[in-house]
Amino acid sequence: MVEVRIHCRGGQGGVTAARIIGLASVREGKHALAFPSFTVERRGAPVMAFLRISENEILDRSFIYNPDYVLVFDSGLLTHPSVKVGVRESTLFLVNAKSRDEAEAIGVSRLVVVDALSIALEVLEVPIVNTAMCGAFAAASRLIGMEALAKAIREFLPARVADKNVEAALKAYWEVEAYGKNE
Amino acid sequence: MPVSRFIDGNAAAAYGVKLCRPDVVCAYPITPQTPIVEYIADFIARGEMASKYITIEGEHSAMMATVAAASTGVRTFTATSSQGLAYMQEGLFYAAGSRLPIVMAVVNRSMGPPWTILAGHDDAIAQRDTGWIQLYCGSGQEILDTVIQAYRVAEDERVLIPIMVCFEGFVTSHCYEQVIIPDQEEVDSFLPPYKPPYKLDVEDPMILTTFAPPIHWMGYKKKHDEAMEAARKVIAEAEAEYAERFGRSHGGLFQAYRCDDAEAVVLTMGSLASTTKVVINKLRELGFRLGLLKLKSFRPFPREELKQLLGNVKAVGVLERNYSVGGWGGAVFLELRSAFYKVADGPRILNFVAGMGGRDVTPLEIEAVAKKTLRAAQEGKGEREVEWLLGEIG
Repeated sequence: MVEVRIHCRGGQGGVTAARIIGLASVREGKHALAFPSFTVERRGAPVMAFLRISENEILDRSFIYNPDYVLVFDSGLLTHPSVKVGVRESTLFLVNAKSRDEAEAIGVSRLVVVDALSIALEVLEVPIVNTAMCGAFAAASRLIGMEALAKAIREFLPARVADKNVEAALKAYWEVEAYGKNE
Repeated sequence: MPVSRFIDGNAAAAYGVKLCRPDVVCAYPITPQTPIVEYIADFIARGEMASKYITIEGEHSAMMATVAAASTGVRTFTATSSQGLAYMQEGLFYAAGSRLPIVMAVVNRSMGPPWTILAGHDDAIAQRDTGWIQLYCGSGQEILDTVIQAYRVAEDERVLIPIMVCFEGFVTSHCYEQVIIPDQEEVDSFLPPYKPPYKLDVEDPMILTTFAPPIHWMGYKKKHDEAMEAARKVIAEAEAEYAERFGRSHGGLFQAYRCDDAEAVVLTMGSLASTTKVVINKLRELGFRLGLLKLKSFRPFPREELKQLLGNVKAVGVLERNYSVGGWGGAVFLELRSAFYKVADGPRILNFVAGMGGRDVTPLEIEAVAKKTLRAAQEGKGEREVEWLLGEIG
């Protein structure tokens, strides 16, 4: 079983990202559970989303305390105490940041950085980074394929924004895939 | 062909309701239940569901409109959470006392203050004595399957009692997972149209829920209780038939897991049972003889069945998301202990209060619960009868 923890702010689409990756995994024949942890319901508030992916039925419905992957949607959250809870040497961090220097301050052993904000602003013209982060996750983890991911994005998002979001995911995918994982 | 969808618990409830073809749906939105009524409104708007949808100004009215609709002999559905459930309490008595087979989804959220929108079973448990059947679910699939069974049970002439289908807010209501949506035809054959034994009808006028004089009032209450007693059998029957037709079983009144040779058993409801299963499997591998009892039906409380099943167990740890302030225990613990009153050599019963106000219950905490219960079984005593799982921060 693989456990993914997403740290984002309300409005960045972290909860939807967990669902999209979950659906893509299910389409590839796996089991998935995706659920949020809200504290307050408002934009900008720190939110966590949890995702479990497994070959078998998933029974553990508790929050994720020992993640295999940590996705940080907002570099401003890097100092949030919840981000490093339960992480191990093997935990891969995927961080949306302008530069690697900015993200490196967190001090983790495995780090992939992607400028998902620039991609979102360029492709979507709004600062919603979730689909770019999904694409980056596909490349960094190799847990899901881009094809299944694109389908999942189209299933979850309204048709009028689906194409652009697939484009954002693909761009982020290649940023990570082509420019090395920078680990 | 049944289809598998990746949906959340609220959608699972909505799909279940759609398959049951209710005539009237009337609900007022409240977090975390709101998506259920939104999904249903969408189904109706798209022409996939033929129900009459009544928009209304609050939960009290939602319940009373549902009571009125059900009184005319039609199938009804509503949904709520927490403060909304409390607000409709007068209507809850009205529905149950009128013996109307309403099905309501209750997305469990702790009662404020302190303010919260997150999980806890305390909202539904507080409505224990309203006379409703309460079934607690822990996964999207269980929610869908239970909604369908709930109509069968509620509408059975031996029962005629409204049912709350309960599941935890966010943890289950907003959890996306694979859910199998059965065929409409299969559901139609399991759940034929509702044939009410009594109804308000202008062609054949009668009065329902009229004044009962003192010589009759208690008799009605007694009959209600007898129907609740009968419901124990009907719930188990409906589950058995459903399992045969659809190939899925979540336990009718409860589900026992690895209890046969268990020295100690953890008893819990809803999604906690799912996580507890992982813990029991892990501890079994280490040689600890532990079992899990997932209690589904809190009302009717399966007193006799539990006494039989847990009679040979030395200790039971009741892990629950509710607490009776001043009663010194959670409701399930207090009732289980009462069930074993005067039973010689009954199990030692411990209570672990957890998971209210959205507090997560971790596998490590559940492991400690299981081990403490097993220790109580072997030593014949427990550290504390009621323990609060508060982690590091109170």
